[in-house]
Amino acid sequence: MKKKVIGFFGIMAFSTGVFFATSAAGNISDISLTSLIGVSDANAECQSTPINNGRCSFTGNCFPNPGGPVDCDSTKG
Amino acid sequence: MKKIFYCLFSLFYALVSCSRVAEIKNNEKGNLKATDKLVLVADKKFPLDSGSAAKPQLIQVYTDTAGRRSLVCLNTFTNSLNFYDYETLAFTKRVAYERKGPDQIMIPLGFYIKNEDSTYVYNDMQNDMVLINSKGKVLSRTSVINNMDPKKQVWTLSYPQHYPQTVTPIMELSGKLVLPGQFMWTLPDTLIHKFNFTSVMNMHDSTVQFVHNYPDSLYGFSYIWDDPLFTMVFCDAGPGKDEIIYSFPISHNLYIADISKPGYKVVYGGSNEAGTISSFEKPADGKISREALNEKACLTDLYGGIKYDKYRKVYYRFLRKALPESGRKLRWEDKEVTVIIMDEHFRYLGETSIGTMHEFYPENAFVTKEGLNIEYLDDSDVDEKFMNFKIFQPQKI
Repeated sequence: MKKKVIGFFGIMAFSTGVFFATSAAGNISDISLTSLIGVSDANAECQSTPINNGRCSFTGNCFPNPGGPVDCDSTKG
Repeated sequence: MKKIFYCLFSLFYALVSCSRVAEIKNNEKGNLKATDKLVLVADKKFPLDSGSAAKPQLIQVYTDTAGRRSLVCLNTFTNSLNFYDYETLAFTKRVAYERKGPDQIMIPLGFYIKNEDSTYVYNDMQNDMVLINSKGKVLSRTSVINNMDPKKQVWTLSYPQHYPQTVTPIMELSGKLVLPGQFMWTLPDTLIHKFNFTSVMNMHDSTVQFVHNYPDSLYGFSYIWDDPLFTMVFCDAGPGKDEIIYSFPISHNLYIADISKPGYKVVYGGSNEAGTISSFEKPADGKISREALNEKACLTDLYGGIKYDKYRKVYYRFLRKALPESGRKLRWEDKEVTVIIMDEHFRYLGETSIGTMHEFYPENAFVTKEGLNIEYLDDSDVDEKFMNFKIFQPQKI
């Protein structure tokens, strides 16, 4: 589990870097770093980003939920 | 008169706007007689390197043409398959997949090794099944969402979402690749007869068909289940040709199907101890809270994977037993894992509690000639140096 956590934060750091490198970064000055890299309250393994398009399951996986509530980024697993 | 009208209207509105609650009773509770139990016969410890963790997404025991058995694990962090010799436990090789270029597989979430030169990898990014050779060259890509745009999530209303696990693997049956899937959330009643949850890909011409509906009695009538924990479809190949056995978490029954036909034969396959399983009541604000979800998950008996043991001609079915309502904090990992044993005709042989989900990870379970392998989580191995399995066999009481 520890290795998984390390891997998770590695991916987080990578995805945050990618996000800032995109043109979208210029439009998010009002979004705090905490919310940007924040982990969904629902589960420590769902990742919340400004493009949330999925819903965090009980076991911590983010799955698409079209038309329903969203709280995580399904492209991040 | 007006008051009576408003009262009647309110009552009618309340009745039609309330979704029904499923009450799935276990009619055999307390009536079953055990003749067998599950006993621990061996364990195996596979060494992990610094880039590999316990609880891999998917494991396949692959036997090559020389008869050597490999335990193959999908490492989703390094985009690779790790091979171990199942007998000696030694790490033998790693096959890594590209993350860019023509041979990329961005998010491998499942795999099936057909032979030394042909591996099918389920790529969750594009929702396609990728055939790749031993040199890492992609030979074909087949969409399992009928070539819909994966970014437009509306496809999830028509095609299953796939989350392969070791206990519910990608299977080959009669030249077809069977990829079990599911509808993740509460299934709208309008889809109950339209939505098929299993993808079946013809390995010769790469056509994909979708088969098998959720049973009405379990998931119809807009019953609110609201989490993949309840809508997960566990399954395994049965002994018959093209036979697949489904285990829904919320049903004491098992559903036997043919991968090329709709419909089921339903048999009892429950626990002597499991109680009634009920869906959520519709909340006033329409939203199930995390607390309510945790309470339902912990206080309900929920079935898990089904495995057929062709060496002993028995079935094993997992049950995550309900926690007692003790007033203490409810934790999912505190639930006990029970394995129900049935003979080849689904007659009850017994059930054995093997420990809690702190100790066992029943999503990673598979059968070998040695018995039922279940991943064991060793708390004392703080550096995660090993991936552990306990192997069980049924034995007469």
